[in-house]
Amino acid sequence: MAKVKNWQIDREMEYPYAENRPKKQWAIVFDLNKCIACQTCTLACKTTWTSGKGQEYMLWNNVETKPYGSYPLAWDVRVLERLGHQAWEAKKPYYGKTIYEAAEAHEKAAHFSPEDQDWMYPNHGEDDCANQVNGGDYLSLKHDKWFFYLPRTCAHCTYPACLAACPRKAIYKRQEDGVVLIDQSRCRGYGECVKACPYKKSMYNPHTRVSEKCIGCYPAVEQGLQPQCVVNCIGKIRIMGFINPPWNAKADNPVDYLVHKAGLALPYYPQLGLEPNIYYIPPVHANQEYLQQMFGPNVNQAIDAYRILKDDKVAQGLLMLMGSTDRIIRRFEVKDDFAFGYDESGDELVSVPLVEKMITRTAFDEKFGAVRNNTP
Amino acid sequence: MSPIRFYLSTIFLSTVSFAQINVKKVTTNLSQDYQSVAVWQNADKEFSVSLMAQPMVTPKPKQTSVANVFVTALHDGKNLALRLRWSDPQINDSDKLKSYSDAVAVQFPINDNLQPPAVIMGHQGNPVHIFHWRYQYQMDVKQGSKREIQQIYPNMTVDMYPQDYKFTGNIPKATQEQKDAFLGGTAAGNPKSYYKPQGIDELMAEGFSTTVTRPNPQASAFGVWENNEWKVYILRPLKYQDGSSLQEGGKSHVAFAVWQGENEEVGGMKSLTMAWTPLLLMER
Ligand code: SF4
Ligand code: SF4
Ligand code: SF4
Repeated sequence: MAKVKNWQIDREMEYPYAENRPKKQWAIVFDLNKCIACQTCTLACKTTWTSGKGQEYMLWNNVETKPYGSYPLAWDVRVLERLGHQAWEAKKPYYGKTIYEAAEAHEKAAHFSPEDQDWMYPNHGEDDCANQVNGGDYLSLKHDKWFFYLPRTCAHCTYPACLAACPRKAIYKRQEDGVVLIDQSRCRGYGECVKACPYKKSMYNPHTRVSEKCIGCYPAVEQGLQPQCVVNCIGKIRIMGFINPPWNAKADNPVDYLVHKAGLALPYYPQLGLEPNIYYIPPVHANQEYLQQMFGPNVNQAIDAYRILKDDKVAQGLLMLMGSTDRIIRRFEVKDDFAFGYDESGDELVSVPLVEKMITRTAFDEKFGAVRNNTP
Repeated sequence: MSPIRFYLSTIFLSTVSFAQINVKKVTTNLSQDYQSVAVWQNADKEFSVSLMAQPMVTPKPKQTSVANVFVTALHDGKNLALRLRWSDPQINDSDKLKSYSDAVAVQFPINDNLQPPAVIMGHQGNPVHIFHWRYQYQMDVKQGSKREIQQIYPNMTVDMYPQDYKFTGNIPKATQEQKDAFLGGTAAGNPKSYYKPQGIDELMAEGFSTTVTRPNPQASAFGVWENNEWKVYILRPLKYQDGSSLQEGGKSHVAFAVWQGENEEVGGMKSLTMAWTPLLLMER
């Protein structure tokens, strides 16, 4: 085991391989306050990548309702259960055990081993609310009856458990963008990655008899395009970019800004120790204890930052840039009530107003001599 | 000293046990029959080889599943036939996730001499030649193809597969290659994704995690599970141009590994020999 730096838990930890950060790190930020579980992202990924034999129930992108939904069945509860009770004090490093540190001698990472049937109910728990809703109930803030939607892809972790557990070394992390891939020609289908990934984003294909996972849409990313599940997001809740570790953070990099500068977005289950690279703006009205378990003890700060968005024009502008272009925004700036996104060479990709102009249209259109109505 | 170094040094010092498998020569043609009781009546008595849980590479088994494999062998001047017997209370095939096939592997050094390579699948520059039988492959052979997804999940919901439409209209029918482009392992030419008509894989390795499947295997295999035990018969040519070659009258070495399906064994999860067993191809 090597000692590696994991900034998400703010300490060094054990990992089977030495620290080797890629030149760039693929990352997606999701604003959970806006996801409507329309599953357009899921379908965008499915029709692009997993329509073949053996992939019938395979969803590299999925959206589950929290707390009761899960795909595969109870993945989160089962891995947390396996890890056991661990403490994490706010504003302190996490001194509990990661899945690597909690591993027994025969395994690379503390894990549970899912069955195929666990993947057969991608919609289970959908829209199920935590707490019973009785006649006459109404909502107040924060919601005492709550649920939220959690869209998930592979997190292309800095310290992937899938890669660590593969005895065949068929999984690799690309230097150029940090995307984690299973070599489809070398994998022998042992399924060790399926067991080891705590997020259960490595999946077995019984037709080809090898394992597969989200490829981060690398063919698109190589051309400066954002992944399919990002550009097709109806709610415009996603932005893909490249994240730097906090010691190299750049304030004009969209992902760095949301994660490091504004502290709006957090990794999920960072205590597992993988340094996952999908980040979430937490849903502000959901149950705090639950959010702390999922996003760590500093989740309140992210919620507070979200609540004062109206005072932060830069963050506001950045959120407006989500879903505004299919190209990867490498740099952004907000000026004169507009947000601008730029590509790698500094060319402008898009500009959006912080507040959309309000246009009032009369009921009768003089030009066409027609009555306007809002029947779809 | 790291555990790997420790094992390597013990393996280099004590690679070979002293007793040997005596391979008698038969006058019948083994390629025509290497499985019948009559053929094996001519063989020397079984040699007991001890196995242990693979100890070096994590993930590894918690305990040894199969402690002994009983081996005997015959040759006819052209082919070597091995019979491997081990006790296994349950027969295991593999199709879906978390189903694990019973399997066995026999390994020969390629550059054989008095000091064969590391028994743990050879080492860099000194490869081994492995014959790997899986009950899964045998079940495929029985039906003449890999298990179709509809056989594995008969009640599964599926609309259609790309390029595989019932009514294509004016669009020309897709070729198999065009359809296979949607199957990761198949498109990448992964041997795991292809049917094995011989019921066996032949592999080359230069250490753990380096196996490469040889195209066009020349060996064949067949297993019988009866009375809570497996008897697996493997037939291989004595001579290979670029693999392990055996000399009539000469000595070689052999090593074994067994996977117990019900204990969820696959890959590095296996019981294996930590020493080479000498193998003598007798002239009579
Ligand atoms: S497309 Fe966007 S809004 Fe719809 S479920 Fe996916 S992430 Fe949520
Ligand atoms: S989320 Fe899972 S599959 Fe993806 S890189 Fe991390 S450990 Fe691997
Ligand atoms: S990044 Fe691409 S491959 Fe991964 S889940 Fe999204 S659409 Fe699918």
